Amino acid sequence: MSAQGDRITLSIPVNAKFIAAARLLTAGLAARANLTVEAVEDLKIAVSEACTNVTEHAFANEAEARNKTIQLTFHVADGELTVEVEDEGRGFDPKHLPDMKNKPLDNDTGIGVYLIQEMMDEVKIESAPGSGTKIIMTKRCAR
Amino acid sequence: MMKAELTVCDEVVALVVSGELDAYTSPEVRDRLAEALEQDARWVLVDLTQTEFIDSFFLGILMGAGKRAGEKDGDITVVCHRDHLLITFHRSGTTELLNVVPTREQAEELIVGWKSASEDVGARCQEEENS
Repeated sequence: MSAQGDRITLSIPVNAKFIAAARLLTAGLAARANLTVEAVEDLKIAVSEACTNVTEHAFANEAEARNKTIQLTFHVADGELTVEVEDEGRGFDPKHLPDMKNKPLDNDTGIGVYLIQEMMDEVKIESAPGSGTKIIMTKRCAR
Repeated sequence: MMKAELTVCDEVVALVVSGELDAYTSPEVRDRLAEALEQDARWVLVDLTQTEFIDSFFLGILMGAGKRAGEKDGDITVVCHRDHLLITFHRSGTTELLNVVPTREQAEELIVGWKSASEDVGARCQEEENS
C-alpha cells in the first residue's frame, strides 16, 4: 500500500483470497472520508463486486492470472470517496453488459456491475477487448 | 473469516453462517449445500443472523440452491435482519425469490407450511392414482 496526498493505492494478487483486504481498506478510508455507515457498507459491496469481477471473469484461467494484480486507487475527500479498480485482463466492450434493470437475478451474469451502479453515485467503466478494465466509482454521503 | 454449520433433518437442510461470504469463502457453502440437496434434503433454510457481509457471488449460490430445491419440489428461505445485507437482496431483486424473512421462527413456519402443502398435494395425487 502507498499514499500520496489523499490518494492511496493498494495492489492485490488476482485471487479471491485477498478481496477481504480490499474491503477492509475501503471501510477504513470511507470512515476517514466521513461517509455514513450505510455509505461505507455500499462501498464495501461495490469494491468487492469489482474485485470479484476480476478474479472470476478478467482472465481465461488461473495460469493467465498468475502474477497479475488488481490495482485499487482511492481518492479521499471530505464526504466523498472515489475508488478505481483496474486490471490487466482481457477486457470487454461495456456496451455488451446485460441490462439488469427490471430483471431479477437468475444467474450471476452482469449482476456485479449492476449492484455497483445501484450502490454508487457515479460509475464509469473503461474497458475494451484485450485492454483490461478500469472501474471508477464515487460515493458521496457525508455524516 | 467464515464459519458454516449445516444440519440435515427430515428433508430440511439448515445452514447457519457467520462472518463474511464472498468469492473466496462462499464455495465451501455452495459445495455443502449441493451435497445435502443431492441427498435427502429439498427444503433449504439459510440463517444469516450472524453474517456480516454478502455479495452477488453468494447470492448466486443461494439462487442455485433454490433452483435445485425447486427441481425436487422444495424451496428456500433465508433468515436476515441486518439492513446492510437486506439492501443487497433488495437491489438484486432476490428478496422474494429467496423468501427472505427476519427471524428463524418465521423461516421455520414457512417450511412447515410448504411441507404441509406438499404432503397435501402428494396425498391428492395418491388418491387420484388409486381411484
